[in-house]
Amino acid sequence: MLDLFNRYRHIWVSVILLTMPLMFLYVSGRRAHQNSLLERSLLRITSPVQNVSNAIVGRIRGLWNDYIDLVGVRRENKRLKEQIDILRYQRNRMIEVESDNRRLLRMLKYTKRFDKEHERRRAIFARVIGWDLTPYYRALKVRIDRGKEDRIDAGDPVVTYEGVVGRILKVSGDYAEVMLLADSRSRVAVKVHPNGPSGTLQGRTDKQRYTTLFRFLHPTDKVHKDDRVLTSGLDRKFPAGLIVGYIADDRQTQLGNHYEFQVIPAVNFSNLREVLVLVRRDDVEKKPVEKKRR
Amino acid sequence: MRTVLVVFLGFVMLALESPLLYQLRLNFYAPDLALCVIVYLAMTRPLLYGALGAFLLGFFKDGFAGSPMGMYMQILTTAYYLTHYAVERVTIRTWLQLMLLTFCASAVSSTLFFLLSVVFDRNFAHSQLVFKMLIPHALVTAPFAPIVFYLLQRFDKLPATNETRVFFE
Repeated sequence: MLDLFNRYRHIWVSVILLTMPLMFLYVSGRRAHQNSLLERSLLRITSPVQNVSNAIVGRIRGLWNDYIDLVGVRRENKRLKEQIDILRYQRNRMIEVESDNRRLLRMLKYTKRFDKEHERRRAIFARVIGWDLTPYYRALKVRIDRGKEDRIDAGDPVVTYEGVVGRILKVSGDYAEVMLLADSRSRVAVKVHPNGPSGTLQGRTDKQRYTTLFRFLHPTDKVHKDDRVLTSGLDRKFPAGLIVGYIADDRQTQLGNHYEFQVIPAVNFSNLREVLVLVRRDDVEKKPVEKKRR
Repeated sequence: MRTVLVVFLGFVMLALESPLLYQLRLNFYAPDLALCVIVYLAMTRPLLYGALGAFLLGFFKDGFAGSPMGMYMQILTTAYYLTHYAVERVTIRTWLQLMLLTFCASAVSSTLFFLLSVVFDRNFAHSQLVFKMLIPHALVTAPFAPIVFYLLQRFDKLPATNETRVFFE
């Protein structure tokens, strides 16, 4: 019997190996909702192993994603940085455009109001195209893109909606040079609003800041800090009532037979982009007539 | 003894296979590494040792795959016998032949899976999916056979042995 078993060992074992799973399957199919002892034992073996392998693979994947596979991240980082640069540029451009828009609107309003209120002069818009910087002092002259063609003459007042900038110093071709109020050669007839004295505003060359001096003859107690200084119109160059600046402090100093206050210009000369040149209306109307006669 | 070691290696592969494929999101196109081990056993082991190894590996696979008890035991054991039978009659010497053999074994195991599911699983409703995935699954499994063979042969060489190798000698 044993001999017979040994002789056909391959067949017996093979039959057992091939039929046993079928029996398991049959039993398993019959009791689908119940785990047999063998199934429970198998789960006890495989579940912890699966947990450990899951943790290992998860950790390896994490290491790979976070520390090794960074090619995509680097590329994305570069792309995002470029995008940030573009957006930053666009944002700055928007801010600049908005600021330009606001300033130009105020300039336009001021021009309309000025033209309505003044009969002798009219405002011409001009862009600042250059700054004359001296090596020792601040910019005291600026160049604008309007000239003789626009009927601008030397001595014409230059303003912005904030106040007086200075006056035309020289006109050459399509360009003109503007002498700022802070230039030591600048003189403007002014008065302190509302009840202060009249006098002259003189530029003062200063390394640190743009400043001017208000000079007058008699000592007074009617001038206070932050009082507005307006053009008086007595020099027949600047129309009366334009804001020139503000009294810097209450201290009045005597210099010879004059008294003086320091005045901070109303216009920030550092940010000048556009100005208005106040040209004579007579000139504006006269010149075309002269051209027609020719 | 070496057969037990090969089965153990198959067990490790099974343990790593499931999370690896889950992490790589390759569930449907997962290679059947256990089947590659079975083909290796069929080509290098005596009939009974290999059959016992295949049976054991099927047992473990049932545990990892969550299939009804006996499903992969049956599939892998039957696939083992058929491969063994084929290898006795056909000479397999190149990687391409090996891949072709694994492709056929995979196709047979998918068909067996279908047949056994239809017979023993009353709730089985994925017959179309099984046939749809039969060829892709075999195509994915076949290229892994040379890799598994290479690994197992390295593993087999560890203990001193005079047994002749079929591949990569």
